[in-house]
Amino acid sequence: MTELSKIVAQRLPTATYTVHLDPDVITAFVEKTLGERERDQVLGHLAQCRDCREIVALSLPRHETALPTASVRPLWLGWPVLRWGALAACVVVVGAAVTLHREFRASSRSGLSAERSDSSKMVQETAQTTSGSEISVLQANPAQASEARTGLAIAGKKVELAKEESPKGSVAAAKTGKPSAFVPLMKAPSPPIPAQTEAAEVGSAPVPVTPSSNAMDEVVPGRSKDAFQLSSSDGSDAAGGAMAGRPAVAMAQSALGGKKALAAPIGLAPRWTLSADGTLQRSFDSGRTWETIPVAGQSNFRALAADGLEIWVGGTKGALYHSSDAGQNWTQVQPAANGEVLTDDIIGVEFTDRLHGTVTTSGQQTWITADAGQSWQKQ
Amino acid sequence: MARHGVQSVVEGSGLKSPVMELYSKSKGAEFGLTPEAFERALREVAKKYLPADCPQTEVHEFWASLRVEELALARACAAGNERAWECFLTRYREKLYDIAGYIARETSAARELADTLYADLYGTTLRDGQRVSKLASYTGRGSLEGWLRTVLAQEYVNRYRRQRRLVSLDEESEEGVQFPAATSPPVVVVDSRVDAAVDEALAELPNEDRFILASYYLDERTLAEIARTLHVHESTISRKLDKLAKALRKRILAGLGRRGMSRQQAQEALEVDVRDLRVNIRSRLVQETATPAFSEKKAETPAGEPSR
Repeated sequence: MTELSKIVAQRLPTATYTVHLDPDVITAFVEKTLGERERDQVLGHLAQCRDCREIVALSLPRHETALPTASVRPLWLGWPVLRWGALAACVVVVGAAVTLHREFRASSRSGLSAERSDSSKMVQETAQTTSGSEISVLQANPAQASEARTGLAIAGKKVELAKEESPKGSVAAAKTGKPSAFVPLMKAPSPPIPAQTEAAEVGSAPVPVTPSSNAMDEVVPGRSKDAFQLSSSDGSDAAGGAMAGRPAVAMAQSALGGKKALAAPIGLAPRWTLSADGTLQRSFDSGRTWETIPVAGQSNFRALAADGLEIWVGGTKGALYHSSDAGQNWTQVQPAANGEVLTDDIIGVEFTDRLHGTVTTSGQQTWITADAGQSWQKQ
Repeated sequence: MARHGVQSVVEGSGLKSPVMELYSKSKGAEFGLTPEAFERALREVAKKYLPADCPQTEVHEFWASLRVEELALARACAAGNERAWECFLTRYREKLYDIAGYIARETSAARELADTLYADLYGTTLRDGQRVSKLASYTGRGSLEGWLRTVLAQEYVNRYRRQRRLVSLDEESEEGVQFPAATSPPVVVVDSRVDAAVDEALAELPNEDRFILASYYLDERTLAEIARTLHVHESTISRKLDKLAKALRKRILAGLGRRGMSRQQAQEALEVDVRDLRVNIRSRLVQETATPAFSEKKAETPAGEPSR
């Protein structure tokens, strides 16, 4: 960077202001919500007021990262990329040339040996590939020589590729003492290589995630498995069997909306907070960094209560969720009592311990539980 | 008496429904904030930032740009609504202490800073029998969290400025402030044309460019810090500083040429070592470049200093 003259640096205008920028204006400047004209006025003040510059610097959010600038030139046209690209192209060309050369040599030598040998003599060799399939070497009689040559040429290429991939194959070839020119043929009909097939199967078939298996993990004794249904533990009819204080609890379906939060460090209790837009946030480093925790696609929470790994959050329209593993898995809880279900906006959640809690709503309702949400009473 | 400006515009029937729309968006009702109180808050904010003759549409756009939900929460807290306070504590209490920790960099100072602000936010001071809460001054132009950060930073800066006058003699002698070097730099008369050309070139720069130069050369901020402030990439600031330095040099040389210097004389004048120049007394007094930035110093409360 060109060194700016010290004279210029010394002449940069400064002023001692008695009236400084409004905190709201500084906040709006930092968050880039000022209009252009106002932003320019703020910059004019900041250019001369050291104190306000210091406040702006301290007011910057910790985790804000600078915006990437649009490159004038696409990155892939840069010299470092071109250099490595050219090298890769050379490697590909050389590799292809070597492969073709070997194939040509192999096919020509095989053709020669097929012509030299006795037409009635058959030689069979086996070699192991990494897949465990048997590969047999056939030396065809003269009548089939030409056919064999073609087949050998094709097979040779396949086996060469297999040899390159597997050290075992090459070791086997070395042990037999045969030069690599004795190209083994796959036994016909050539079956797919079991290991590769297995690998393909394992790789291609994703392990199905069954909600039911997750739900089983979330079963809390006494809770209904069916969502939004009143039921008693003896399995009586929902309509007639509801009793005062029995819960209507929806089961968890790993209610993370398809995006899991990071696993909680074992035994470490996090800090929790709600952002201005009602999003739940969690921190494992005493608030230095925060991550947004998706909970069943909900984002409008108004209240939370946390103790150790236990966390309860409440939001609009009776949305109440509980996690006992620091937010890794969630259970939706729907308080109900005497046939009435909590549907108001939850604005307060308080748990004095794991079992005893109180939920307050915007409609000035108070719901109490003494068994960690399994049953509720409305006050 | 006719009322003018924003007040009369607000009370016009044309703006009633936008106010109600914003009121319902703010959810102020949940915190006991009446529509009238909400409208009063909006009028105060508009009066503070908009000219008196601002057209209705601009006022409406300005209100729509505010963080009305946070504004309603802040005003409800200032009015003492318990539910609002619970919501505020849930959302911001942890963050308040975390931000203080980041600003003050020392646990005890951070805790004191956060506790002091918390007391101001709650409104422990009374004026005319009414509780005065700092949250009443929040206008919703930025996020409430960002505002808390700025207010904490301001409090920290003010606190440091007060404490700087009470730094102990031992500390001063360690830093060499009390006992400056015995030899004074040689004084050389400066060509006033240089100062004039430099001042002229700097004055022509846009505000943003002067801000970048001041941040980099006076505050000794890093490129990354300046980039974060302006929401651009670090390399953008680097390139900008390069361009600025070259452009300034050109302008100064041109200015010196207009003031009768030859090209060679002008170049020599710019390359003169600043240590040989007479110190600009006025700029030294306001720049305070001898002392380190107060953010690098610990904010220690001297013994006997009453806390706010």
